[in-house]
Amino acid sequence: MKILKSWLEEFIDLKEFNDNPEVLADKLTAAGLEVESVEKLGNIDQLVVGHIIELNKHPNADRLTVCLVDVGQPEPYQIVCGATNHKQGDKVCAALPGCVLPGDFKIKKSKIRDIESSGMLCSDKEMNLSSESQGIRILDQDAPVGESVSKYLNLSETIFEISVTPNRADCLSHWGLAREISCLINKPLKIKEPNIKIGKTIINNRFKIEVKNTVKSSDKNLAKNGDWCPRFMGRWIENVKVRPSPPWLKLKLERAGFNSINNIVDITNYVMLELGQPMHAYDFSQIDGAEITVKNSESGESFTSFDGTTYKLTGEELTIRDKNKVLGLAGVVGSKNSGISDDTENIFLECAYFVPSSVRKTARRFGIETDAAYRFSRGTDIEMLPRALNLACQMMSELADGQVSKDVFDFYPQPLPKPKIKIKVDDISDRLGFIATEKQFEFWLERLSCDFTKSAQEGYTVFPPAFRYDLSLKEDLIEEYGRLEGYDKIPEILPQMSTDPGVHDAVYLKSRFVTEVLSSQGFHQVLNYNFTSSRSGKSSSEPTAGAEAPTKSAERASELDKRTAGEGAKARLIEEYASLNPYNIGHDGEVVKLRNPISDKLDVMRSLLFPQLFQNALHNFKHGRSSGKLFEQGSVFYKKDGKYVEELRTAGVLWGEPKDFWETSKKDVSYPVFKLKSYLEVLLKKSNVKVYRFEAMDNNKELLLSPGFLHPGQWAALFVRGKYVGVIGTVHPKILEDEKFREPMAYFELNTDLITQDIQTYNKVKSLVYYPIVKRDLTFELSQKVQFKDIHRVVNKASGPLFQNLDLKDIFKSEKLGPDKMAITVTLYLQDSLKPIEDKILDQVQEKIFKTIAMEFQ
Amino acid sequence: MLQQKLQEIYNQAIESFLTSKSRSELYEFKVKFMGKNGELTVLMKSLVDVPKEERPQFGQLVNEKKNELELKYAEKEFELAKSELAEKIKTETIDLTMPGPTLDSGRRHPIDLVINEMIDILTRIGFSVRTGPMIEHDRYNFEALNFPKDHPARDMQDTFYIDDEHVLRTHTSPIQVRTLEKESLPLRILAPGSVFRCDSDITHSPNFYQVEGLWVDKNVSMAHLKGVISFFVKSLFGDKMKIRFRPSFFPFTEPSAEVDCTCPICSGTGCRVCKQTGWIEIGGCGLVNPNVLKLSGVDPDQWQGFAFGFGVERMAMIRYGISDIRLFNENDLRFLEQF
Repeated sequence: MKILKSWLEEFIDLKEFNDNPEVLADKLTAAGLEVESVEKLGNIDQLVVGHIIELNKHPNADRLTVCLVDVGQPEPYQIVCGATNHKQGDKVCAALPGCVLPGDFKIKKSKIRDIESSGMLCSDKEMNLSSESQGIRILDQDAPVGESVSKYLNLSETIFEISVTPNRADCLSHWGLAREISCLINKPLKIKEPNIKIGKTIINNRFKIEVKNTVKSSDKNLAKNGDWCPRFMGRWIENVKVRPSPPWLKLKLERAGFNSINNIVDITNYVMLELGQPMHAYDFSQIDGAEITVKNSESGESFTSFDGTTYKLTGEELTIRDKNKVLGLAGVVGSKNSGISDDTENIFLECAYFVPSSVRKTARRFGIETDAAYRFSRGTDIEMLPRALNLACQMMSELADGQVSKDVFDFYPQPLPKPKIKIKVDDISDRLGFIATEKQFEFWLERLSCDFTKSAQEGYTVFPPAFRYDLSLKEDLIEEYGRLEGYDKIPEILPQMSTDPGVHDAVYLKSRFVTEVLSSQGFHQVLNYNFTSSRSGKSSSEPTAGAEAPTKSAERASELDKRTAGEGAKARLIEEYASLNPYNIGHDGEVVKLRNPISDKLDVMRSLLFPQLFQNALHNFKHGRSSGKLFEQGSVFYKKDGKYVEELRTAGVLWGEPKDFWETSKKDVSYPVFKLKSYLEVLLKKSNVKVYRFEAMDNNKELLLSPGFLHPGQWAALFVRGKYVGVIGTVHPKILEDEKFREPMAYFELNTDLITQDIQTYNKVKSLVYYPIVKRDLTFELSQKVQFKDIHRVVNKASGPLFQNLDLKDIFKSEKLGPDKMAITVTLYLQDSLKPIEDKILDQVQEKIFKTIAMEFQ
Repeated sequence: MLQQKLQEIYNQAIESFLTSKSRSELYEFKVKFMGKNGELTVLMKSLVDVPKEERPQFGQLVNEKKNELELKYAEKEFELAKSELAEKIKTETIDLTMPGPTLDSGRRHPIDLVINEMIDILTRIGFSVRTGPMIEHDRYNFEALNFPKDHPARDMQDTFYIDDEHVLRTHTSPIQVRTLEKESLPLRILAPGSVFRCDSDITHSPNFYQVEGLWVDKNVSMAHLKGVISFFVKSLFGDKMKIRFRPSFFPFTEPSAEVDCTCPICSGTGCRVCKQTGWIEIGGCGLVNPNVLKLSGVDPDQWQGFAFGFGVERMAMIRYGISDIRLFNENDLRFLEQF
């Protein structure tokens, strides 16, 4: 909030900071009231009071006037002016050549349409006195010609922009902040005594006021508190004249960040800014039945606020109402018709205390933000009410000619309970870590306006003042002592540590492990937002983001299927999809939506990493990276059986191949996905995963339905210890084509938890075998449909315990062999742990292998 | 007669050895003269034709010649090997200033690097990491942290709501509550992770990272908190770093403070990053509010705690001189490859 130094000075002497208000700002910041900026509105040189002694039309421009202005110098200045609200004889603000107006606007001697002009006549806006102005500023007739305008209008000001934390609502006013400064710099406060001219009218003769604290709430805490309006004051003011506020009031409000409306509204705002107490003025002519009641709303009734917005009330709001309608939501906002208009004559001035949480609840329910609601919901000072009401009444009679009622309405059945805090000085020393003394503690308690008693055994019992409702615990007083003495007094001591070693959480260890393995293999790590868009990419430039993206890809994929395999195949695939549901890689939950997303591009929690990782690859591809490898270690989210599930995923993408000197031409188009598979297997091996398999076909040798974003013929599901953990494959050609992505791209996404179960297992070392490994190349002629894993299985079984490994050496296809045939060459490694392998044994094994292969596959 | 033959063979062999151009040629000659069916071997076999009394003498002579040849052979072989190696080296010389096959360097995201750096520093003084869900129950994100419903402190954190009871965690503090409920005391834990605020502009990201710490033990004070943070800041930015506390407010700590440290960019002399103050704000901290301990079932008369929280982006920006937070989320390799 904006705090004016001159306003503070109405309550406390701050002369010592005239030249260096930053020192005061630093003191406030060090005490926990962070000063965000100090703005100095200085004196404006060469801006003086002028007297228009002659005014003529500009010969060359209808809208301009040429003024001869006496500025207290021997010769008057000729100034061209574009305003229309001035006349001969007016006193005005003349900026003379050399003057620099706010906004670094330099005034120079110039010619305007051939007429010389030695300066400018200024409006309030140009002097930074107001954000809006109509015409130039006309000063009072008694303004002394030639005097500095800054001095005459009191322009010089220092404005502190202070960020007040929610616990210090007592500092949300000039009085409140002055009180805090008085505590900090140990200077007395000046109190302005109100001086009200009291009229004859008795409120009760005019109308009836009643406070009914019968609010019901579904919120247990609020219901318990019951009374939402512990104090309600008001006064009746007759025959007010609604008109613009005087310039000094306008200036003060504008500088504090408030627009001037009219004298009545401005007075209520002024009192709020001075004392922190929000007020409300009702136009009496709009109050039906001459009665005001404070009670809860009727469920279902509607209410239209002053800005024309209509709200449907729930029965759980505290309202101010007349006989027929709601006049305002207590502490939040007034109604459209009950406010002050130009015709208002008699007003009822409300000054109340509402329970903070009740105001906040109502304001939040309807999303209404007002200055009143802001202060009420943070807490106001119930003991400030009479003073605030008096100040307002005084101003009403002074500035609006109002006659103030003889009596004051004050509903205040019982004071709010006052907290008492028990504390010993040792508690302070123990928690702050430096020695606190009774003398200092008592000094600060006095400065904080806290009453206290003291006993040898019990220590202190402290009673904080009503305005410091944030003080309720011993720790609150410890903080007060610390901040007032200065946190710089706290020494730096490393605490002693217990012997309990503490162990990192497994989730952290797992993701760190995977990150280290993949980055050491050359994958760059990316981090994406955990939320994404629910919209499916309509145009190709839109991100393929969000949970629906895979479905979209699925549509694309099935469109493709339709063209190639016909409707029947599509139906079959959809059926299988339902059973395997591979799009979500192993979950069949609901997508988690945000209730209040920041934009429709970030409106759901991600349920798949692919769309974002694809975008990352695409982004880099478009910026000239024809090859690359990225990975992400992140969570996906879904809702299942009424519970939110977060699953840690590991995803990797690889696209293109470096086109360098070493690139070999032999590589197959499917090379990228195999390369990615090798990287993935390194991860599995380093993770101590011993049993895993890649599966792309079901038991009937039919291809499984692929995840929508992968090439239906170039993908596999990964199973670890028989559990499905994720997928790997080539990205669907249609997706790449749509984005004009001209390099092959391979991708995997896995459940991190399921592949990292054994990273902390310590392997027991096996003894080494010293007999040689024997290597033999074998070539089989087989159908192209035979999968390598089946050859592997058969060879392994036929080789028995000697089997070590089987490598693929070559695949040869030709017309000679036949259209569906291939000649596949594998390298077999055998070893016996007890003795060298004899040739005879080797031949036997080989024979057995060929026999079994023939049996199984031909 | 035989002696003459021996001398001829010997001479031929020497000649052949000396004129050999390569080790393979040399070896062929060795086989020719000294192999299983070599001329010298054949000659040895004809020893039966020599009169009995001359046999020992002749045998000795053959052996002498044979040994001489072996020696010659070895000498020549050594010589040839030397020159062949020299030749091989000469012809195999390459230009190692040529680039090798292109490999990716596999950089880690700066956020991840800084998180781990922070964790590793604090692990040295006994902290260990805990994790928790991002979709968090209102109770853990707010209520148990002394943010009652309809308390204005909730306005400090613009919150994403999932439903009436669930939010996207606005800080990693819920992990502290979960740990307090589950584990025995004393404890020293770190809560790193992704957090969310519905606030997005050039300096704010709606999804950013925090590392929080919690230390619960007996007789814990603000001085201990200052000691730990000072150790942390010096470990991260150098031992000349100083810290200062400024009073502040957080519902879950009392007393509360904001932490400033010497601006690592200008070492405190004033620069654009620290707005000429020489200090930069790096996080918030305080002693755990007794209400928070009570709500987690811990007796605040027995135990106290301190807690602190740092923004990871801020640390990374200082560490690497990054001026635009949007870079963290773009995942552009031109950026990522710099770490």
